[in-house]
Amino acid sequence: MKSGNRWWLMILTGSIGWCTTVEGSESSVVIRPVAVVAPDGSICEQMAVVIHSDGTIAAVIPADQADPALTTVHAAAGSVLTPGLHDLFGALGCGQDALLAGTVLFDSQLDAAAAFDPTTGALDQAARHGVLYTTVAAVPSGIRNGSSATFLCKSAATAHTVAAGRPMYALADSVLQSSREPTSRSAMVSLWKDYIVEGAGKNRDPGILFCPDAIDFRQSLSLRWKSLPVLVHQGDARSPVERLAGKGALMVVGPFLENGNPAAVATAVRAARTGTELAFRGGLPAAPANHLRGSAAIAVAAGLDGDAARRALFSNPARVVVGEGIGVIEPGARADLVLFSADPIDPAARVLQVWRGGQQMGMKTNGSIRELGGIR
Amino acid sequence: MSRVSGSKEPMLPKRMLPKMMLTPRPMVSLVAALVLLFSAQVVPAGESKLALTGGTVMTVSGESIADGVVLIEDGIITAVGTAETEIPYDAMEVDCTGMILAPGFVDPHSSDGLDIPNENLPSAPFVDVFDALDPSRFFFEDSLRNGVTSIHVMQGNNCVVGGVSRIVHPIGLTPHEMSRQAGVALKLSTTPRRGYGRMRQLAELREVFEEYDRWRENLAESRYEQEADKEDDDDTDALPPEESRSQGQELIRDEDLDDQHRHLAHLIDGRLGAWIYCGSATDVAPALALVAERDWKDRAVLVLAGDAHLAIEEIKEAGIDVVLDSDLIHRKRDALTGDVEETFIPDVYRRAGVRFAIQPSRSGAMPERFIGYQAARLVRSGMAPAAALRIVTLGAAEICGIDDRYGSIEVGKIGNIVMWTGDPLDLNSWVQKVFVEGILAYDLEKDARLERLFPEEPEPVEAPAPLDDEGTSEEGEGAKPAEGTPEKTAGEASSEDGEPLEEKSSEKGEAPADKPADPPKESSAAGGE
Amino acid sequence: MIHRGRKRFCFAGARVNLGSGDDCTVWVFFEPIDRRKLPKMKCNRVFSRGVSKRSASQCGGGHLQPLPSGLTLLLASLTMLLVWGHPGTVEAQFFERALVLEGVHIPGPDGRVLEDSNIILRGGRIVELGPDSDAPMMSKKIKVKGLFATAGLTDLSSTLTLDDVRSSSAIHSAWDGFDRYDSQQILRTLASGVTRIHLIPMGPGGIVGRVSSLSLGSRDEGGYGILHSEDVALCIDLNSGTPLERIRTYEKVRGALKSAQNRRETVDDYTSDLEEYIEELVEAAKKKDEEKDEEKDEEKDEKKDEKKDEKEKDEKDKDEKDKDSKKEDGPKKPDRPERDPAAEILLQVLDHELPVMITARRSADLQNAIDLIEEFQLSAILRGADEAHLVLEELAELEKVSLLLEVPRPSLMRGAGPRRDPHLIAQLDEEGISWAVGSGGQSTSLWRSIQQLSGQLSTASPLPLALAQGAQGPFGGWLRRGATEVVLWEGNPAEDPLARPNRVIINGTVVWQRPSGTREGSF
Repeated sequence: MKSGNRWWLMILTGSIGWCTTVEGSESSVVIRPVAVVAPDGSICEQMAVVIHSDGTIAAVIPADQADPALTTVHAAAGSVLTPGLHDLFGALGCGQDALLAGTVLFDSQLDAAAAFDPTTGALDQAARHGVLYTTVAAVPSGIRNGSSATFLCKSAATAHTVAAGRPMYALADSVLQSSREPTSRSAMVSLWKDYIVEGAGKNRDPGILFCPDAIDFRQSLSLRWKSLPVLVHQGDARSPVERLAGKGALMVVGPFLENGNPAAVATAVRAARTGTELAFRGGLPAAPANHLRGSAAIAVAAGLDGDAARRALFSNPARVVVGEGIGVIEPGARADLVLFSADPIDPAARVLQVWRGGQQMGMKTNGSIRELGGIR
Repeated sequence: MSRVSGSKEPMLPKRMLPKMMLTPRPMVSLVAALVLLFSAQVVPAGESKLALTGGTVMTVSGESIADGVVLIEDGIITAVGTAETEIPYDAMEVDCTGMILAPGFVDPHSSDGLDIPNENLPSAPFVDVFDALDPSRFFFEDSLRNGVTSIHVMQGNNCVVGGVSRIVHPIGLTPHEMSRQAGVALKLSTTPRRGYGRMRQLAELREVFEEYDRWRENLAESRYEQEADKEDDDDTDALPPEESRSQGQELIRDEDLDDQHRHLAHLIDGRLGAWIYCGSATDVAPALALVAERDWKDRAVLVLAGDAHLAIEEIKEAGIDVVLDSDLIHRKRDALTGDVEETFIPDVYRRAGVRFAIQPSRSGAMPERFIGYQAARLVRSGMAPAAALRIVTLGAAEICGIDDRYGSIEVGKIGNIVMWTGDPLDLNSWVQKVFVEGILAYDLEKDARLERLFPEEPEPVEAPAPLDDEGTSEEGEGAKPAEGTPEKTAGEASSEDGEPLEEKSSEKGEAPADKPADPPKESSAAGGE
Repeated sequence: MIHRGRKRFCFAGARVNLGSGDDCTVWVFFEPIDRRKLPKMKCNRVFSRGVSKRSASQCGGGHLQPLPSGLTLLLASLTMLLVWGHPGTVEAQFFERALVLEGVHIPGPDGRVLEDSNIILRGGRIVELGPDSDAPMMSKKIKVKGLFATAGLTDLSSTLTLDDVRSSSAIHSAWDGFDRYDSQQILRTLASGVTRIHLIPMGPGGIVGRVSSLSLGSRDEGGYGILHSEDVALCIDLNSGTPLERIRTYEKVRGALKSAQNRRETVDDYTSDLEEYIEELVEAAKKKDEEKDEEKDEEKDEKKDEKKDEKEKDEKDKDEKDKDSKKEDGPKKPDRPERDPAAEILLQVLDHELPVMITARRSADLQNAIDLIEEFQLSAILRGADEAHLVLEELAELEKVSLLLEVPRPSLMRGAGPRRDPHLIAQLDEEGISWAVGSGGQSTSLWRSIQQLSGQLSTASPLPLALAQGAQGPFGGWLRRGATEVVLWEGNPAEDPLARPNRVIINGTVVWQRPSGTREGSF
């Protein structure tokens, strides 16, 4: 666990300013001493994170510099504080079939937010497993499938959006439908070529592109993008992920499940080796609640670098949806924090504590075993 | 059809005539056509003696004889030699000048002649393919057309224990007429039949034999008691069951075997062979274990398919013959790397020194059921042409255990001889005539079906003949483009294993005259190591 | 391989050349050792290596070779000497070149690490390990400096390469379903550090088949998989299907066990009847002999011809008489019971020779399983047992029951399956119910599962938990002398959660090695 020195020195300067101005604010909470996952995926030991009463992170400072007068949460030895996990393109918070879109080929009006039900109890449950954000998007049945929507995982009367919608595109077999054009791949690709010239190419936001199979991926790359979209790709051995090298690409991979397809994992690792940033795709609520970290563990076992895996869990999903103040622990970001008992990519790690917007969540499973012995 | 039958009726071979007389007129249509197709104008006199003269004789067992003579008496080859060989005065002489005489191909494993390849019952050792043989199948007709003269007809692979196989000639009106050897082998399978898993398949297979053992014990016991009752009670006392079981074993007579167990008993006492189907490598070990346990080593044959060649070490160690699937190339894609590994299966066995036979390509594929094509592929992969020819003739006969009568042109063997216009493994040569037991069973010029398929005269051959010019001289007219498939064959071949073809075209420096020797020995068709 | 005779001790595995050119490892089995009786200790069996009960019969004479008695004696005395010298040693592979793993670190049960140690293997087994072990002359060295060596992991619940879920009878054995040549899947499993698996047959519910245990070492003939035992347990699935189907399944299983009980009575009756019958036969034979003697005395004086004729007549009469008498009072042969191999296996279960492994996850199914266990006094392993916390008291009352847990996959869906109490294991420990962990499917997830579980237990390291899985076996557990399976890790698996296996060595062969360079992403 190397420390992201440069990162915390940088934020330290910002934090010190805060220390001098707001010092002594009684409503602030400091978590310390704790290891913190930096935006670059590394883990910085012996830090303190100060949460402002307005629900943002006020400062990230070395543990010994924190003001002892502040309300302090003492983190257990070895525990690691991370941003919230992010369930990308699952169906968390949506009813069954709520994300099925119509047969419109270019649907720019569709907003996945309409399918989201903030009162779903599963949101709080997911939060207990450390999943604090959910991004939903329509099933990619057209070339343009409206826009994504990203919410905080909190069961409440109103939805709490944490990122603006991004246009969702698809170049995949799921676009081919018998009820409308295109019905063949060649027709789809030619429609795409036209669209790149007139539509998506002109948009400032290249959006997020579903291209699950190797052939989708190859054809996607052959289009003339002004700037490359985020690629959502499963992949197998034939995916030419090496072609992304040097393009600063961002790719959503997975979800990787036990008994899943090893070729997809190997492809993701291959992509990461050539410099592509990864984000793990989610699959809640159908998948096991801890499967995001499971994906990370599987990818690490397949050779993915630990830092890259942590980035794929925390900061990169936020980049995928262009969320503001999410996915990173730095001053000014949302205080959506998860305290793990160990490195989050260690399968042994479990969630000790969760803060959403600076508010600590009641953890049912936090009591001692003896106490719980009676609970059936 | 009537035209054909009208013209040929007087020339029926004698052994078929009585049957024709008995056939009621209304039933004739298909049967008559078939009969006439196979019938020909041979042997008006001295019907039992046939001399094939002037052709090149590829004996397979020994050296080829240019301008050789083959003498067949009563269906058996009585002399093979050079032009000096004495020909009896009363022998019917067939001039084979310019032709090549080769032993008929032996199809080592086929269920094509049956109405259905397998019973619904998983374990049916009591059935015999005899009851399902359908002489009117085009398969048999095609076999002759492709130069196959003996077929080991066996139940399909979709079984636990299948029925008993037999050797048939692809000619005859009834199963009786076709059959040449009954009771060759029993089909077993260690690969799960449809709807089964491996555990169930193997458990049931073991169960068949364990049940048999128990049945035989009980039979022995009751036999002993019968004898004890019959004989002088002073000598044979009632014994404890265990002893009477062991003593009674010898008292079991053939008539004591019931239908359910008869063939199993024959399998175990050595009268039947065990042909075990292994559809993948992991199925080989249980098959070999069964062979070792029951001591069938000298009469077991593995019928292989899929990736069974991966178990080559085990097969080699066991020293058991194998029959390969018609699909000669195995392709496996590595899920992780995406690499496709191709293996030319026969090469694996050739290198390991395991004796193998090959099956004709599957029906539905072009050129269908053409075992010569399969053999030609062996040559392309680097096998010597003579060795490849041996595999589809004598080699297959050895594996079927019929090499004492079939597979080569030797004195004492059955006169199943095919007259080719060229090298039997050259895809441009075709079958001109087929003699089965010394009787003309097929003649291209009288092939009614081909005549209908290709009613027009063949195009004249312009270029100098590729192999030998004799082939085009006399037989030029008639239904020339035998099968009409050579071109397609070439197309198929190139798609099947493209590399050797490419190599051929790229390495033009080599003389194209000697085709069989052309492909380089280390052909890439053999696939990766 | 350990022979099934439980009370025998295996003492030596020596590689001997039998003179015929093929050498084999010979195991000598002794009766239980008692130092006072040592002179009486006798060689019980000689087996060649790797031959189990069934494979011995399968391989025919090839492997199982009776040794000349002189050689056996010599061997026995030789090994006795060895045993005397090193009471703990099991090894006596003299004639094979040693394999040395140089410079490895060996984590121990106490948390300490033996740094820079050598591991010396002979005949596939570890004969020495530790920092002081020196490589013998002429040994083959593998440079693995800096890697961490542990024993291989054991997956107690695996379906590796079993692609069919159609097993449905006690005579079905999971070993039959194992695909030796599915190298892709097997290598992936080895790459996760698992070297030994218990194959669990899958089926539609009811009695499913028998569990086999095997090592994933490479076979001499090609492919992978060395069978340890085909009869680890009989698998009963009470978990599949709708609730109604599950009730029927339970009744079916119960019926099968009942009829097996009945069968035992029939078989016992038959055995005793048979003994009686044989005794009667012996008596009858005696009587006959006496009669014969008398007859002979009477007939001695008469002429031959007459004698013959008369005798024939007599005999005919006698025959008839005899037949009648036989029917009336002669010894009656008891009817032999029909063959029923499945029932025979159930009888083994009822006799505690073969444990049952009952798959049950929901509390209702667990209750059914408990009822079965109580009714038939089974020694049982409960597989799954997710809702065991609901039947904890009943479980605690049972003897001879252990649980085989899988790692829970918590779901956010309501009613998605059995609910697993996160503190189940602590409760089990409190009640003194023994438990173990299996992957429940593809064994590649075992190490991660155990790591996950160790996190829930707040144990310092997952390694002791992982190695405990194999501890029931002869050479499971921590790396020690006699072990045949070694996993070399890139980091210390006791501490580094991201440690990955680098090499796997089984029976002295490197069966898997992490590919180097660009292809490293393969597994």
